[in-house]
Amino acid sequence: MGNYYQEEFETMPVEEIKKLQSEKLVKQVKHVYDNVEYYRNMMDEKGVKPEDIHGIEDLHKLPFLSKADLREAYPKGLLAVPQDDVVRIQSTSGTTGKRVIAYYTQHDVDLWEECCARAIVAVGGTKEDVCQVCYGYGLFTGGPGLNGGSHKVGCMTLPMSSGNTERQIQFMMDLQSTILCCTPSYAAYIGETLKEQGYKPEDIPLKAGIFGAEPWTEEMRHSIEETMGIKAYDIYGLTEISGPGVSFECQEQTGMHINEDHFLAETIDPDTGEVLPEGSVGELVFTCLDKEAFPMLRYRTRDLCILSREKCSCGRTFIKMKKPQGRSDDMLIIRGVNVFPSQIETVLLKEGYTPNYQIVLDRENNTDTFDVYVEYTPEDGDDVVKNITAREKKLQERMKTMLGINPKVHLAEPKSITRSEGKAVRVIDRRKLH
Amino acid sequence: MAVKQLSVYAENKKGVLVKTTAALAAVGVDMKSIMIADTEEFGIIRMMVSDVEAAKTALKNVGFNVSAREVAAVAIPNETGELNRVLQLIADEGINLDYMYSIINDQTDKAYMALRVDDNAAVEALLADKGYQILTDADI
Repeated sequence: MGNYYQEEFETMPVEEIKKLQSEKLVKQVKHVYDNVEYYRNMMDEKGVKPEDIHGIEDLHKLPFLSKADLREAYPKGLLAVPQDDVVRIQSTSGTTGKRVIAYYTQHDVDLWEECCARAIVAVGGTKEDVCQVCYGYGLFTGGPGLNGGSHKVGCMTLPMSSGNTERQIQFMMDLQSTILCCTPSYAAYIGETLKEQGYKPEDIPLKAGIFGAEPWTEEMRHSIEETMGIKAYDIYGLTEISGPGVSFECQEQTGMHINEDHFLAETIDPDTGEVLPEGSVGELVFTCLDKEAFPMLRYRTRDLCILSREKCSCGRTFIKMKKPQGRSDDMLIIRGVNVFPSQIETVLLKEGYTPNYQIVLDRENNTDTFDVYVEYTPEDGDDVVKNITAREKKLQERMKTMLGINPKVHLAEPKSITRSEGKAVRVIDRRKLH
Repeated sequence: MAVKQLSVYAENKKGVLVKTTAALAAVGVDMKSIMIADTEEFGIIRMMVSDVEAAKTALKNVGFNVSAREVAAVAIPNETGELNRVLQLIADEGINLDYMYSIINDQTDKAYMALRVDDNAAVEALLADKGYQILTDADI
């Protein structure tokens, strides 16, 4: 399985990776200290100087950065180069508060696009492939990242952006796209539409999909793979660190290899900040190793996951991260119980429903109301009221078992749940808590 | 034997019913029967139509979940106590009747009834044995 874009790094012996990381870290810390007043103040406050950092073993001495710091330093407080060296900005969707703006020099753009190129090659992509990118383009990193990666690999790139599903399918069929890049929820939607239009998996030219930017489950992966007759791969990233491609899945599909020559990963106890050993669940923290414009040091992602350095059959030596178990930002607190929307998705797919759902939260008489709308889509389903009610009840029971609290399940008409064609709108929270 | 029936799952909200009839009118499908079971949350609209496939496609296209199945149908003399007799026969056999409704009949002086049971053939055999006329698609 020799699918590498930059074999010399991707298969580097672990000891050499660590040595390379140490060398880069020393330089990166000095660069940040010299150029970013905000972080210099944080280091000074902690009594740490760049001279104290001799290698990755000293990483724990550095202070953490969090989203709150990015907000406080908005818009340019963490920029580490003169503005005239910046060639690009990207920005987060800003759904959880103030936007984050990330800056890139040409070096940073190249580094990011190379990471995406590695992800494309890892799923079997070559210059002969036709790569359809339907992540949003613009400020969102999804479109530009995979677009750049696809260029670097030499694929014929279709810069579709998200939405207009009819057109997506027309281009897919007319140009015989072989790799699809988008959010998993949009992939599922395209798959459903293809099925409705009468396309069978063998009629679909795609061989692989690179899906990320939102949480998804193994069940959803299987459902997409089955509908479209493809292999569905996960990709991970965040704007603060660069964008998609911080880590990516290889053909083994057992976790995402972190591009360790650029990004140093740790997992910590989210409460104490203590560094955890590999193999235990913790909050993922990234340190950039060779970025110029926006080099985050010990950035707390809020993603909970496990790191593992088990040998991978693909030959890559980069450490793997398991699919994040949930971003603390996605977590809902309903009647005092922590709920991740992905848990609902798991139940739906297990019970034979499509992963189209919407959670509506409201507050009546000081109690949270928790409604889950699910599309009722079975072919030739039952038509006896008591049987349908029983179905609703069964689904409700399964969700209660999974979540620990009881939602009210509503079976909605097929395709009646609003679909955003970029990131899915899974939660409508009408509770006015602030 | 038995008669084809369509069942439409619809949320219980304003304007849903007219959406179904509009979809059928637009493709020139004639309705032979209609029966609605409503709950607070949703309703099931059951109907017999002149063209099952056309109706199914038209209803699906406007976003409904439509299922097709066969129900037993029987012609009953239009006289007091006749329906009771039929239901008693079914009850005596221990057969569970999920729902029942009448079908338009402009051909004869009999009352046509649709019966939703688990085993159409068993009910049809039971009633045919007692001299009732069992209906097929051609009779509707």
